[in-house]
Amino acid sequence: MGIFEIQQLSKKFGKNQVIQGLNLSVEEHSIYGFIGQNGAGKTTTMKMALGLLAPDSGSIQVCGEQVVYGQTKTNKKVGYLPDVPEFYGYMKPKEYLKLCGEITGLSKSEVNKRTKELLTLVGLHEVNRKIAGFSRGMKQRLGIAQALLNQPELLICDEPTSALDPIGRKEILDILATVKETTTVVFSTHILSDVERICDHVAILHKGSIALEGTLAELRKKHQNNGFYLEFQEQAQVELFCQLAELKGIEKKTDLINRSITLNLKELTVEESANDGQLLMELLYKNQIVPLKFEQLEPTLENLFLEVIK
Amino acid sequence: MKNYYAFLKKEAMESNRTYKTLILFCVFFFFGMLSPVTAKVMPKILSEFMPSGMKITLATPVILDAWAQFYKNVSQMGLFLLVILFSGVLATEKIKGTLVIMVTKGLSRNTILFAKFTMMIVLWTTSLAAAALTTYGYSCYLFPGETLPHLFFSLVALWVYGVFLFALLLFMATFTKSNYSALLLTGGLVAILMMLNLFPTIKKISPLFLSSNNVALLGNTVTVKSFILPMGITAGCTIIFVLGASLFFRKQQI
Repeated sequence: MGIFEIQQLSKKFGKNQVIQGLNLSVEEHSIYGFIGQNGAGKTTTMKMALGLLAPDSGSIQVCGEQVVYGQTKTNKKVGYLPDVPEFYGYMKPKEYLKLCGEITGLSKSEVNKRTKELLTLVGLHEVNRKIAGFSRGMKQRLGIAQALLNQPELLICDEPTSALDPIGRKEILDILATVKETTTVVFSTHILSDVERICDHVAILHKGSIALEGTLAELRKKHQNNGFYLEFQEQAQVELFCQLAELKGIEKKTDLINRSITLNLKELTVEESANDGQLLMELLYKNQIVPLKFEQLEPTLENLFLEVIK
Repeated sequence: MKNYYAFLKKEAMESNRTYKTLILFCVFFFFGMLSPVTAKVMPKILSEFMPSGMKITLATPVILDAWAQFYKNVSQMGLFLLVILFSGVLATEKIKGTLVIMVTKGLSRNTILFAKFTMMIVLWTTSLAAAALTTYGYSCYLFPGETLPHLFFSLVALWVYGVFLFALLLFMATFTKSNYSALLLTGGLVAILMMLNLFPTIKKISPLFLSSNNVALLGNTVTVKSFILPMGITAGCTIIFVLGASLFFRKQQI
């Protein structure tokens, strides 16, 4: 049984069925990427997991305990980082973490120790001004610090990088990657490169339920298309190569010649079986065409995502 | 209980850093100073502004006039200011979403409500005490040797009415999403109470009795006994509003 379990979860807003029969199981000490388009129901699911929103049906369990709407028992084991965390602007970071620590039931010495550790982890240890003047990135970093304060068994992050610039994103992802040893992270986002960077398990939410789920390696293996990417010096070479490939029956055999030649790049993507890579190389060699690039395509998360939501 | 104290401390810090405490202290201290002075100098001012040749006979001001001014200022402008300052008691946090993190840390919604209610009562009590002590001290100076009966009880009656108003505001704030809605609904209910005061039977038991008969009590035209029933009803309503707020807020999306 996973640390975070969702079974047959459904939620409707008016006539809009946002979540329908959602099942999810998150193993301990993993970083679980919860992917979906904007409005797919990621935040709704997370809010239900935190008891902030009532589900229409289904059950959610955190560390083996049932989540009950309006109650906060299971939240003692959870750290939550909202997409745009809101703080009391008149407080300083240390004061805010002290308040959070007292609420979570930490002793005074623990609060002081954890506050110091976490402010150092998120790079705010030297900041002694009111939160009202913080940038978005600083607020997000303070958000992580508060979420990790009670050393939660489960850290739920709702699109933590969506409002940040590339540097801010990198900082947050680095922090999340470092907490994996002690905490299980559920990380919702629509930024696929973030998921590829830190998540080891992925679920794609589509039409209210999980459309695809597994480790990144499993998904890549399962959806490998063995395509090839070729880039040429000149446009004429692309055309010639296309003709030759056709004559060799590549198109006929696979019907997969993809003429995605872009303006000046003079590139060509050929989707073929692995053995046909050899055939393509022979073709290039015999006709003395030297491509600028020749690479076997790996299925990206973006491809998988687009395939799922198609 | 630990959570309650932690959140209460946060409420106190908020009141201090957003200058609510300072504003209330200054205004109520000003009311406290102003009331005896106004009572003392008002006859002189009025006679100064009379057209020449016109003569006006005014009674010599007494300590009761000072407290009449006090109750007029505090029960009207003072409470109005407090209600305005507290109108965003929940709405501000609901709109900004600052409670989300607190709730996900395990803070119960009841604790939030009770801490906020306590802070309102603390500020009201200290403001009222500051104004009353100032008026008392200044009255003793301006009207030496004069005393009044039931002064403390009349202040308690006004305090109970203030607490009732904050409970009502808290109740309205739980199921509205803006400061103005809570303010409007609270004002609306007070207006209904004022209209109901047209009926003599209701007037005797209405919460408004506690804020409109204080001077009469000091002047011995009404008895302490007549305050008991409205006080009981007001306390009952206060408990109902707080419990109602708790019930609504428990199931509310934040």
